[in-house]
Amino acid sequence: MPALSLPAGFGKHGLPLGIHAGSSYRHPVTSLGWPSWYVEDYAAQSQGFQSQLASLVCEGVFVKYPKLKVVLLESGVTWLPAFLWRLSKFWRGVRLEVPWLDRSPAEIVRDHFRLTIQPFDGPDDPAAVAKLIDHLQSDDILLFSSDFPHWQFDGDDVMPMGIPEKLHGKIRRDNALATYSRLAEQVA
Amino acid sequence: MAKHVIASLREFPAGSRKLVDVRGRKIAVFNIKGEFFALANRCPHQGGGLCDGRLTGLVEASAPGEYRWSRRGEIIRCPWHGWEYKLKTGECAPDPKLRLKRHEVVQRDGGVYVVV
Repeated sequence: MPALSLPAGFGKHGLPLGIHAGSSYRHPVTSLGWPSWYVEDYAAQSQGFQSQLASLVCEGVFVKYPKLKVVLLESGVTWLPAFLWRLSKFWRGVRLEVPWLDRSPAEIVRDHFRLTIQPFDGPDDPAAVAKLIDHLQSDDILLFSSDFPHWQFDGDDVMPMGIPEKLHGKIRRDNALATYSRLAEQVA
Repeated sequence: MAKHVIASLREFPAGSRKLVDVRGRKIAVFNIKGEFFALANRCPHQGGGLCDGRLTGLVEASAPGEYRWSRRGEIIRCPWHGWEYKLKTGECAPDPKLRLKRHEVVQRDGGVYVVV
């Protein structure tokens, strides 16, 4: 069963689908049930995003809507490369379950998903952060966000420490314009 | 390139397969309804022996929820992690960039030869 039902007429207007951290509505955010503490609940949000991302890919949503972009908001970023290695590895072995996927989930995700940079869960060492960003294997995937006024223990720099300089313009401007194409129309 | 005899035709009937060692190369040879295919035995993923894999078909789809069964008996699945390869081309089914080395097979005077 898909983890998200898409409404009729979905995809008609070329709008991206935004998914924000919050909860899993009626369901506990973890497969173990409701966590006792906020710290567990908040850390577990990335599990919810992982499952939602896998569901949208495997259910063939992007086969049906080849132009769709999905923006993950307040999702965290650094869990993504490891999850894509895992998802793509298993896909290769059991591809025949989902034969409508014509390429690896990692490639599909790079084409269709965008992630916002707040909160950013990474190491303090800027060189290690740069390596993590490199694992995303895409300069187009990150979008600026501040999550103001929600404080994330991240400090108040515009960019998380260690994000390579050459990506700043893309993250602050170009990637958002490419994702929200109607925004670009108004700017022009 | 040289031809190396691997079996007599009589001991290699349709539907059977053999793992042969030709000058240190492990090669999986299949007789599919009288047509021979020879591929490098080692799966490029983690080295599983393809000659021990299941011969199967390819599941394809043009839309979510659809399943189409094609190329019956033309796909070998690695016994370790299920990676699928097309016998005819050596291509990994989900990723044609990945390809097993193929060898020509020649039948002559009641013998089966692999070209290496």
